[in-house]
Amino acid sequence: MKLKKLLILGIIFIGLLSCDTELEEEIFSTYSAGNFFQNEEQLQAQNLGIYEAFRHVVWEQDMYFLVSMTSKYATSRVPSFAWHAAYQTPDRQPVRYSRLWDIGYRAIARANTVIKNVPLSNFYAENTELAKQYVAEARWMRAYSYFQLTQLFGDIPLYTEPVESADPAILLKPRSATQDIYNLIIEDLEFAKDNLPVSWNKTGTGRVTKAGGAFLLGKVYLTSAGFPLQITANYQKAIDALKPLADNPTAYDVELLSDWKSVFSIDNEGNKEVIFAHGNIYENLLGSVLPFWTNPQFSEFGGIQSRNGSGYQIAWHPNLLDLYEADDDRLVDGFTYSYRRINNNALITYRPTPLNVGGLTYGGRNGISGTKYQDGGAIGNVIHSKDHIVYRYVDAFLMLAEAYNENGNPAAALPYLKTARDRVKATVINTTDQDALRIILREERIRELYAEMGELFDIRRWNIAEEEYNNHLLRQWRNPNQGWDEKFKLSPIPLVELGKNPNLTQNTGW
Amino acid sequence: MTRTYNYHFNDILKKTLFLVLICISFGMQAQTPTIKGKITSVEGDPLPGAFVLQKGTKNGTSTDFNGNYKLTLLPNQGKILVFSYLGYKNTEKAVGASTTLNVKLVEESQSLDEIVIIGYGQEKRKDVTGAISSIKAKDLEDQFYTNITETIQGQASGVFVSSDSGEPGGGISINIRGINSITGSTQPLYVLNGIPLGTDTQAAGDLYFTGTNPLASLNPDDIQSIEILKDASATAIYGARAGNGVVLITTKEAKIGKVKISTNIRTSISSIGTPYNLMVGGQYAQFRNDIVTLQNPQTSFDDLLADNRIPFDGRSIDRPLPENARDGTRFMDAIFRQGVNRSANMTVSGGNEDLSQLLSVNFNENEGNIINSKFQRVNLRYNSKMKIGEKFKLNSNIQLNYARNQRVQTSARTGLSGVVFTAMRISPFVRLLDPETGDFNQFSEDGQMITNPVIEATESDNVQKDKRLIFSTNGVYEFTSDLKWTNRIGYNAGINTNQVFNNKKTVVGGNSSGRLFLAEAENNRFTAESFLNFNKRFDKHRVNATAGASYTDITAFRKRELYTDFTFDDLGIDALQLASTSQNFISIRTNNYYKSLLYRLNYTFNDRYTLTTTGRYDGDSKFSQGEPWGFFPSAALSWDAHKEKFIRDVRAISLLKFKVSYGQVGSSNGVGPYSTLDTYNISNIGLTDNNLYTGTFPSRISNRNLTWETSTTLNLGLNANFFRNRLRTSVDVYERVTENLLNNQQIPRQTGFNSIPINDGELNNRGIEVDIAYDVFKEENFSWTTKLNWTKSRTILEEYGSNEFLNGPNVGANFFGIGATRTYPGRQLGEFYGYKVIGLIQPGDLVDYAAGNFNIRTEEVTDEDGVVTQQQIFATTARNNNGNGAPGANSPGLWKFEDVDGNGLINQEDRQTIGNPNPDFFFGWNNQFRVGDFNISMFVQGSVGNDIMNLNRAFIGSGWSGANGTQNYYNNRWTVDNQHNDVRYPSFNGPTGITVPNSVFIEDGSYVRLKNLSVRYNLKGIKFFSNVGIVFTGTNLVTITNYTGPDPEVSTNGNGALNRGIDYSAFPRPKVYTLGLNLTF
Repeated sequence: MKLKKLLILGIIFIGLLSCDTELEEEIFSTYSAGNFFQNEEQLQAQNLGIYEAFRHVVWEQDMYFLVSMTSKYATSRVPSFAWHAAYQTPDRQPVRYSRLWDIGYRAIARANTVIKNVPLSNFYAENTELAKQYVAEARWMRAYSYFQLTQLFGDIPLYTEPVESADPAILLKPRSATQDIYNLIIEDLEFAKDNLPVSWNKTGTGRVTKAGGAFLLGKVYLTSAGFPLQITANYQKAIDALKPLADNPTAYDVELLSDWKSVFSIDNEGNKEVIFAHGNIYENLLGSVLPFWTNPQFSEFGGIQSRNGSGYQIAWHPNLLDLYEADDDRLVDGFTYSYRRINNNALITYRPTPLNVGGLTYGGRNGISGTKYQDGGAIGNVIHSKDHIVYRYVDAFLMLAEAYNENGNPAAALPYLKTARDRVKATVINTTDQDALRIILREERIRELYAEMGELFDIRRWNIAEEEYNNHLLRQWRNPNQGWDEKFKLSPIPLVELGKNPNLTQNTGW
Repeated sequence: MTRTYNYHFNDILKKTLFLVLICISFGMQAQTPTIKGKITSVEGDPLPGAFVLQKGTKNGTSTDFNGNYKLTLLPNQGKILVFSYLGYKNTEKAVGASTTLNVKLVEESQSLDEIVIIGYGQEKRKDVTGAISSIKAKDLEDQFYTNITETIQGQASGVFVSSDSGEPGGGISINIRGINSITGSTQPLYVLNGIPLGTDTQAAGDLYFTGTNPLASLNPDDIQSIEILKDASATAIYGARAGNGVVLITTKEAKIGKVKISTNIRTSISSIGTPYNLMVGGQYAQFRNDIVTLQNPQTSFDDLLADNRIPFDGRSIDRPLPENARDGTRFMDAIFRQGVNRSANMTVSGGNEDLSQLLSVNFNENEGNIINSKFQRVNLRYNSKMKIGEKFKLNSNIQLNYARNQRVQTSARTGLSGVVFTAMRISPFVRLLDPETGDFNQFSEDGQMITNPVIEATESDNVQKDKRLIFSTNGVYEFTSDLKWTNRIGYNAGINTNQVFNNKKTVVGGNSSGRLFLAEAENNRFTAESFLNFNKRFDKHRVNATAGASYTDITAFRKRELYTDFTFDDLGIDALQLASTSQNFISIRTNNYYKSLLYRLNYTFNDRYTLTTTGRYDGDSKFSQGEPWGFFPSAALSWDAHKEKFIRDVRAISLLKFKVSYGQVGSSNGVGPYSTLDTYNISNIGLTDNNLYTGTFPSRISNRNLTWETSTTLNLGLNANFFRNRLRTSVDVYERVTENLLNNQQIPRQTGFNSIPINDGELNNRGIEVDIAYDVFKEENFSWTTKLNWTKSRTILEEYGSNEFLNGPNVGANFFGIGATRTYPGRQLGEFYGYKVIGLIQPGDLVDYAAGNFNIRTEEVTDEDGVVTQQQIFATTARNNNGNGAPGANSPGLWKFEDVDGNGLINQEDRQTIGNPNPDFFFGWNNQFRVGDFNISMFVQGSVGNDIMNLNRAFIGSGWSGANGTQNYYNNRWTVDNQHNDVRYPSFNGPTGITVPNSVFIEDGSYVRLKNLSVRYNLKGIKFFSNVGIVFTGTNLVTITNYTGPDPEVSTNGNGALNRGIDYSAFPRPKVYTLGLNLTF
């Protein structure tokens, strides 16, 4: 009897082992790529997967440090944050460059997967118009990623297809010329502009729409008309892309809010002035850190950590205030002049003292806090729900004005500049002198867009990086013995990547 | 006495023993005269079943379970008795007047009849053709071990054990015969009582946690033997999982006989002294101020002071002028303490031939040397051996293991809040205690939140738990005495959890209003095997064959989640409902299975020539779309030359055996399940509408052509024993070639991915292993056995596909963010890579230092075309510019680096190989002395020729402005008043100090360590006890090394092929003093 049981057991084992050559794997926690792109839900998930590449706080903080802090007015009381303003990031925290590189290319790879696969799917054949909207969204995201990367690094490797093999010729691509990157960006954005919907039905705000298509195309044309490409013919193309957007807000479902401060209000996220933003939320660690870093300590709008007495690490030099007219809403609402400390209810008032005053309290070399990233409700320092606004509708007016002015038609610029300034009670500009207007427009961009992570890109396309370096107030104070170096005209290609790809070259001087 | 006699005798002995065991009650008719007595080992343990023979007759008997015998002598025959026992030296005694004759037997040097466990069977040592090292329980007794992996250290040639740090339960790994894979895991296959164990059982760690030992929950006191299979002849029967070698662990089994209880109780205290001796307040302030004054030479100190540029300017209480500074807090002293380790072990065993049982209970509690660290382990193991009917035997093992490791994160491998690292960083001016409340201080004097290492250690509750059931049962059916059929089932189920609760006092917890990280890994491994063993002798031919099949199925489920925003932070994990958000939740289930067929054929001719061939046909589901099936064969020949006539007469030679083996094994460790499938991962993302949405995206670049990596090994072995086995030597020489290296190759991120699984490249590994053992003395009252094992092994990357080199993983995300190793074809694995420091910048090297011009002086250089240019006299990280140069990069006293590409600028292209973490050789030297009732053992272990990358130097040894520094650095550093060119002591560490490793961090890591010194005294004649022993053990007592870090046995970045030998604020290894008591009754 026992022997019989044993034999049965043994036969079962051997049966288990009958060597069929197929070893099938059962997948539990991911989806099989083979049968995806079958319906709109899957398309949406794949496209949101591109947004997901920018998830969490890294992209936002690194862009702030590497882009906004190169503004000559950017300052910080904390040495490790002042590095960025002092042009020491490549020495001190090179990792910030590689993180931006990683995120940008991750988004590009995901976009490439969508752009390649959607047209091959049955869904595309049956719902072409709808499917094209998704392709347009993916192409816009790809263009946006390439645009940010090329503005930082110049020539960069160009991938238009997902990487699907270990072929070294594909893995180890060298850099492509900046011109080629812009060609792809423009091709993508022309498609996006024509195919993106005015709004999305299945989700709320936060995905790029037709307005984003026109806006970014205009921005790319304007940028390529400046340094380094200097394709001045693109000023007209920028006008062509931006004018319909500026003139027809309703058609694009956008709006210039009358109350300037409300554009940035935590209660008004996803408002119609926002062209594109990374949507930070409390849930799942998908939040922002900037409210904590940019607000004073023990303030009620900096979130939990500022309640513990920290915060206020990045701010603005008081000289920035001198750029505004006295009645400008942005001067009144854009900065924190006083607040009550939540731990002892003391009223803390900002004192416009110079950089080198001692002490660590509010004032002095700390600079003054801006108000664009206020969010007191967060329960962790990196989970603020304040969105990272990348592009705002007002910039369409500023860009359009600049394009007209640079294109030799200052008079055409004035109405658009007026629209942008009227709502903040700034005076009307009447000059039609191109050079004078250029200065005004450049200052207007700082007044309107400080801390919105575009400063370095403006500095570069205007080719004033050396001037800005020499005039950088915190750099002068912290690092007076360090002179300008031509290498600062482009950011360093991440060392880690150079180590992995022998075909990758470093920017000059780094 | 001749050898022939010995063999003849052994034969009788075996047969008799067999009889005795079966018919234990066999009695003798009393005849005169009758001699009785007791046979024991020299240690006093009774030897049941020992044989007593009246010399020259066939009159003999065996001892009972208490070692007692009674023998009636035949009249008219010799009055000499011969006492013998398997594994012990025969002893002859003349019968005198007394009728009582007690005898102590001395253990045989090394028994060739010793049983060696091999895959799917066992063999006598003399029949083994492969390279197998054995460690027996006896080799381990009296030593101090905290885990099963440590027991192997230094005990066997060819086996290198390296631990990440001295942390209780910390990561530790074994490399058998060097490194044979470039993947993350170079761990061997562990097989416990025939069933493979998994080592990928650990739950995900919280951010920045270092690895832990997956075998930490096993009880080292349960070990009966460990066999380490090294060459292909031994390992190929494990086929595709044997690429890194195989470790067979056998636990103690139930013994037939009356119930025996043995216990041992041990208590240890451990201390590590002051591993990092840091600057006190005044020095710290002076050092910080000097960094500023050095970079502003044109401005007077008073002007700098007036301009608010001096950090320690006397304006606030924690920013005093150096001369007024108090010494401040010594945080290192606050986090280290004396550790205590207690363990208790009890084993009960007994039974009869039909059913014998063993129950073992173990408890261990190890309080580590950093405050709040504690490792606890409880083990319960039950073994039963049943005989069912005449032909069927069942041997079952069940063990329940529980380990709880309360960890303190020490080395901030990438993060900032590691306790040791924080203690390095914190300003000594921060008070340990808040003067008002007496609590540990959370704020600096000016209200800034600080990272207090004591708070980080005590207010974080970091617990890793491992609960594991390991069950195996072996049913053996004997068709005949020649043919056995074994069916084996093994089930290994466990849950490993990590919970990290940071309350609001810690930095991380404060930032999240209380933070709880939970991770869980559930692993179920099921193994079923069925095989036949055939063992028969036909005249001069002996055949030993095994054939069978095996199936293993591994299902793993992992999840992790994060809770934040706790209303109250005092209940932690016990009241999750206090948390208002849960985030970052992920769960993943995977399955992987293997199907295998295997065989071994062992043929011996004339007891001299043995041929062994093995083969395994393996299928691994990981490669479902690639090539899942592989065949792994091996063959070996051995020749027992000492049995040949021409050698048999050389009396000095007792064994001379030549072995040669050749074979292939595989490994699939390098990649996980589904690596050949295209899949999309799932995650989520918020939009500006403040909703959360699902996002999907490609999870990897799949590689449909993936398959095994295969190692082919040629092994030549020689065993030679001399002087009746008193001197035993063995030498093995091997060469192993591993092809198709399986690797998640790091690829440029421009592809959108970090890595791709590939098969590419080839490793060549050659080595020589020498084992020498000598019984210097072998007397009843005094013996000394000395054993030395010595290993030299070298692994070369022969080629790596189209890649010019292989980068190691990045050293630390917040700092270096760059690989610390690079491996080139033709060179050893994991060589350190970085800048070579060639000197320090001197004031005279600068254009006009006094005036604040930090450009490097230039000189005229004429190139080939006769063009004259001005060039810097040496290259720096910041090239000369039109202005004043970069003080941060060009200050006097900063490092000068070798400009490898000669372009005048130091950047990452100028990195080069700067050190080699692989030892030239390593050894273990074990001595066992017995003097009367004292046993003394001394174990020395060492490694020679390996370098360590001491990253502590980057942070506290070369003037990083982000941390405190060592006294040694402070006293020797470059200052205006102490100008020198000693690269170890720069003025501060400049822009590359914590971004690119350099040659100053490389130190010789060679060491020789007195690992263990123990003294045991066996008390005799104690009532109720058959044996009482008192043991005193000292561990890590003496270390001889030039390494300046706290401990040369270190590898904080783990022990993969490409990241070993890096020291990053490790948990140092203590000196341990242990008092133990062994009781048997």
